Amino acid sequence: MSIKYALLGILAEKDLHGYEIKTSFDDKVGEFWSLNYGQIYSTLERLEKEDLVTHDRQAQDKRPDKKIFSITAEGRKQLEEWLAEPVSKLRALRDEFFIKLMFMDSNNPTAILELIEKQKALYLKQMNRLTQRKLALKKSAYNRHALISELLIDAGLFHSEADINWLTLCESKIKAAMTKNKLSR
Amino acid sequence: MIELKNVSKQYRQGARAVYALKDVSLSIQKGEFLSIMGASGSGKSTLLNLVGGLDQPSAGEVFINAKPLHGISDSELTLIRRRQVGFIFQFFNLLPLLTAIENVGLPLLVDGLPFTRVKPMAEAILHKIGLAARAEHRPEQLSGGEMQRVAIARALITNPAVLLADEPTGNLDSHTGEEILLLLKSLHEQGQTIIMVTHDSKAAAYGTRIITLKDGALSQDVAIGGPLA
Amino acid sequence: MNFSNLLRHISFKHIKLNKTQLALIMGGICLGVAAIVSIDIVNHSVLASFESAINHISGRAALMVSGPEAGFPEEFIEQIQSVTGVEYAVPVIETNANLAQGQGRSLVILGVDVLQDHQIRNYAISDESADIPDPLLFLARPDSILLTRSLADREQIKLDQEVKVQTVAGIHTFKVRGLLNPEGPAKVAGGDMAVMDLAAAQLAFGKEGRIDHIDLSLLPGEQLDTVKTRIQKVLPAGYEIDTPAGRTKQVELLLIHFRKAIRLTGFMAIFVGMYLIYNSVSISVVQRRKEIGILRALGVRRGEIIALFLGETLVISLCGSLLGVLLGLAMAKLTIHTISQIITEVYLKTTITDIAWSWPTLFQNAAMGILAGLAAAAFPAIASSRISPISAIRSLPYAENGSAQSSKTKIAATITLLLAILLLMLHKITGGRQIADATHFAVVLILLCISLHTPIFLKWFLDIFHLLLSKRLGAGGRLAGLNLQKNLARNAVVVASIFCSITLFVCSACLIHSFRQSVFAYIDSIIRADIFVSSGHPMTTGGSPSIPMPAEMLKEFEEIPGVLMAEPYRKVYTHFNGKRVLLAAFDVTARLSYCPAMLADGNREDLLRLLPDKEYIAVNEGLSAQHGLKPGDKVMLPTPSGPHAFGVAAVVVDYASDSGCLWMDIQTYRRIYQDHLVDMYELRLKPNTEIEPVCTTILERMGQKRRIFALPAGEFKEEVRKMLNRSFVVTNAVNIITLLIAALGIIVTLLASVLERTREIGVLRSIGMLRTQVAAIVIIESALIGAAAGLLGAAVGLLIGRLELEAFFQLNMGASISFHVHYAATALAILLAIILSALAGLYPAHRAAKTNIVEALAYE
Repeated sequence: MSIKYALLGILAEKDLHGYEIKTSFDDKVGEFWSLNYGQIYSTLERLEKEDLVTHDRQAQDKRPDKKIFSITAEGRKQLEEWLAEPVSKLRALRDEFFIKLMFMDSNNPTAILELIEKQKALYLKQMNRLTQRKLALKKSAYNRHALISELLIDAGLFHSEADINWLTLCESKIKAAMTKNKLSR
Repeated sequence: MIELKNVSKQYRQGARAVYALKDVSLSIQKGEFLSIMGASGSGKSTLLNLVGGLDQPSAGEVFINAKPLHGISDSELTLIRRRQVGFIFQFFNLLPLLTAIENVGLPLLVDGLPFTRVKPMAEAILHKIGLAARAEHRPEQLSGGEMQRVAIARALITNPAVLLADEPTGNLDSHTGEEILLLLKSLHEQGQTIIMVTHDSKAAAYGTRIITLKDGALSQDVAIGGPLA
Repeated sequence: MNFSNLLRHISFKHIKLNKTQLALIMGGICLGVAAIVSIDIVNHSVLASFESAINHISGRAALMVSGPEAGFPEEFIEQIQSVTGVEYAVPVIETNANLAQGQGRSLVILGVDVLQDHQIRNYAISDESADIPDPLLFLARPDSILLTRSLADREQIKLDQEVKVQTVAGIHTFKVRGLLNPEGPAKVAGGDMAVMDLAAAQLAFGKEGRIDHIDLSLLPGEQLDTVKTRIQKVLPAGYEIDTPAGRTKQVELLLIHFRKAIRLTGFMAIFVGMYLIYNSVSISVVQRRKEIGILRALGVRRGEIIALFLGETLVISLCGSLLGVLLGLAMAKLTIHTISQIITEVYLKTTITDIAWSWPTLFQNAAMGILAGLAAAAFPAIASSRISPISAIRSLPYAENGSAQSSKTKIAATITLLLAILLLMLHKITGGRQIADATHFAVVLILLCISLHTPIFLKWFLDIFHLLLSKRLGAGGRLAGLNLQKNLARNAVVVASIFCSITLFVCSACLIHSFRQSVFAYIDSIIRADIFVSSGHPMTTGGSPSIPMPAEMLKEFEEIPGVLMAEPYRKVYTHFNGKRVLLAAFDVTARLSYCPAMLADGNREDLLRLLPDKEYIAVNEGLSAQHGLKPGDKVMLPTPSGPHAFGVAAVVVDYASDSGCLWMDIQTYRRIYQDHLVDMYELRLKPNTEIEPVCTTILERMGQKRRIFALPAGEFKEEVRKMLNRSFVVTNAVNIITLLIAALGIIVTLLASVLERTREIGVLRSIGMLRTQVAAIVIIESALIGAAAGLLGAAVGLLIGRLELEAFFQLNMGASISFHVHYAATALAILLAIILSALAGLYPAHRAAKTNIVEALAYE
């Protein structure tokens, strides 16, 4: 759903061809959301059908023509409407880790705890990288773009923190259940 | 630079003995920014107190710059705290009676330096952390972030071998907390060794190394910069 | 929540938690109550001892007629006997004597009419000699004496043995004819008494033909007052007729200055104790703000909060007061002997054998301690009830704001000051002997006013300290000063309590000093002879009274080689306008030839012209002030031959008695009083004569016949000085107790402040402050409190000393005593305040140094 508005948002700033759209996307939110060209092109096709986006062809030497995409008036209108609306849907719990937790052997809690441990370490490393990026951003020239990026990094850090906190709670509850089982046996 | 060898710390809680730390060995290099994580009661503050010489281990050895902190007299330990260690606390712990500049200069005043000599040094540090204008304010007239920066300045004035921070952002909002962490990070980049205890993983992520304590024992030691998986 | 639940569940928890603090407060109350209890018991015991002596001696006598102390003619007895309504009238000689053996124990000698005395007094003879029904018949022969059984046992004298007694004529041997069981008169002076035949006693003590008093009983059905009036008609002026109870009253009057002075200091102890309670309850309220807030939030009413604090104070002061009563009893028991000695030296001979106390007085004093505690706790308790329930949610540490002086206290202070000034002015205008207590009241008001101003004073003091010293004392000094400033109001209360006790100390030191300076000047003016001879130790320090010597001894003295001249001195008491005043008789011409008498009014020439052998006297300032006497006035004095008019020649300075004294030439005295006895001979030696050999000669020549003391002037003065110092022993002791209570106040306050600053101390330790440095802060704080209080107390003490000097000596006693600042004592008081305060800081400092850093920092 929101790939649509992300692409509209990118094109609202500047007319770009497909490759440039991908780079801009990665630059902005690539840390949390990776898209492949296929997804981008299929979305762009859909947007063209809805008359939200058009394209021009640009001739290139020794290569096929480049499609330069631009946003239509209708597209701009829809984008503005969307930006003004708050998000009504909660974040989906569709994390891979939840699925793993679901299907792990509940008779072997030690394995689960090990997994949680590893997962936490990974999150911590990830958070450290995000922090490094943030520090790098802080040192670079300060502009609106950098601020938005920093805020997104912050969002990532907060989510990771929540995940770590949740994992710690899992750990603690599983352990409590283990001792309780031992006692009841 | 800082060495802990088989350190244990035991408290009496009524009749039974409780282990706050069990056989922990740890070595911290000069220039490291170590984050210590762990649930409350995991022994992380105890570890910090032992490194800072606020407390002494029940067993094991602690060294700063090869000088032992265990088995020495209270006065010797106090002098190490005074000259080798800088403390930052969750509740800032500034003396409410003193102005910012006096609070910053306090460790040197305690060491017997006259205020006339201490004052320019304290002014320089306050200037460096951007609080020169607040020098004559009392803690109650400062915001939380400002108080913590004054506390950092106080910890820095003795040019300590290691800066010890116990939940430095615990009593601050996220934005102010981040500013304090950025300040610590920039100090680290200037070569300051820092050990920070926190239960906030966002704060811990500023470290170059993160260790996690669980029930008084080391459970994770994540060096940063390695592969993600 | 009901009140007993509050007390049980909350107060007792606090009591368990703050044992040290509670012990200190209880100690304070205990000391204060002990001070007033012991003072009360001592006062009571002194009176009781006089009362029982009077009662035992009076026996069944309903009335007692007494005249001049030198005695009055025995013919008088027939006149009294003939008064309608009188059943028996018996003559009595009552005098002090001492044994000339053993330790020279002092005795009360009763000389009685052997045929009649049993009508008034009961004597129970002990079994061994009981075959004669009337024990007094034993005394038929003039060398007979009856001793009490207890005295005989103590001196190991058996029946029919001989006993040596010092008499006017020298050492005289008597035969013990019987032993008395401890009943009636035999109980006087703890049994240290003996009974002699009247005639024998008159002879032995130089009272031939004279008696000391007449005891009389009434016919059945006669009204005491009617008979008394009838006798009064018969009696010449100057004679006294009184009931035994009335005699007790007189003694009470005589001791009034002594009793007043020590009671006043006792109340100061309670006053300072009240500061201690006020402060500790205030501290407790501050420390428990949060708890009070929670209780209020849970629905506890204001009145219940007040009751909670008052209830706690009640429990503490109840325990403290009870302990105080016990301590007071013990203190009274320990000091009664010394005090009995002081009273003997300064006022009247007394032998207090044991303390006398009664449940009502103990109860009253304990109740006073408790009431004082509750009164002092009332203000902070009311303040506690104003704490809002919101305090429960706020976790901010509570600190008083710097200028802790509300406009209310300022107004109160101004009003008290104005009142004090008004009182003093009123006092000056009326010249007011009538309202002498007004000065005391004004002084209390001044103390109160300055107490209310202590926060401002402390602030100034600390500001000056910061300016001058704090930089030199480093971080510790600076922090100490700041800490004091933070809780200005609370520390000001401690300053107030110490300042009060220092004021008391300086004030009484200066009063005593002024008094002593004046007395010494007087002594130096009066003691110009080289050797002083008497039969008892001069100033009766050993408790042995001097038995007068005959006038004839003068010649013997003048025959001793080296003696230039001997001068007799006779000292008796006489009634003057219903008061017992000292009559000093000496050879005025001789005395004034070498002594520079100090005169307050009149001149030396008048003394020399009018006194010798003429009917003129000199009065001291006290008498002059009390009775408005000026040179040229006439006074009537009772003499054995009836009242006699004397002219007043001059007003002199004489501190020999605080109820007044008068001088008379010894020739005049002998002529009119028919008394040829001498209490002391003052000898002047020829130039370049060594004193010691003369003293030895005196002892050799006269020491055989009588017990005699010959003291060189230096030693004699030294004895007087010693006696004077001893007479202030009670005042000094109470001052020290007051200081101790104030010191307890410092401990309580500093301890609270240390406990409150646990976290701060933890921080200081964490940044590298040594234990000794932390302790130094606390000690500097307490020394600063002490210094502030010491300076203030010294200044106020000097001011109040000046005021009290007028009120106490000049108006009560009429003595013109100039104010002397006792510099050494003033400096000592300031130093004492600092040192005592610093010492009081030791324990809190120890607690501070011991603070566990980790716990202090974790503590919320």
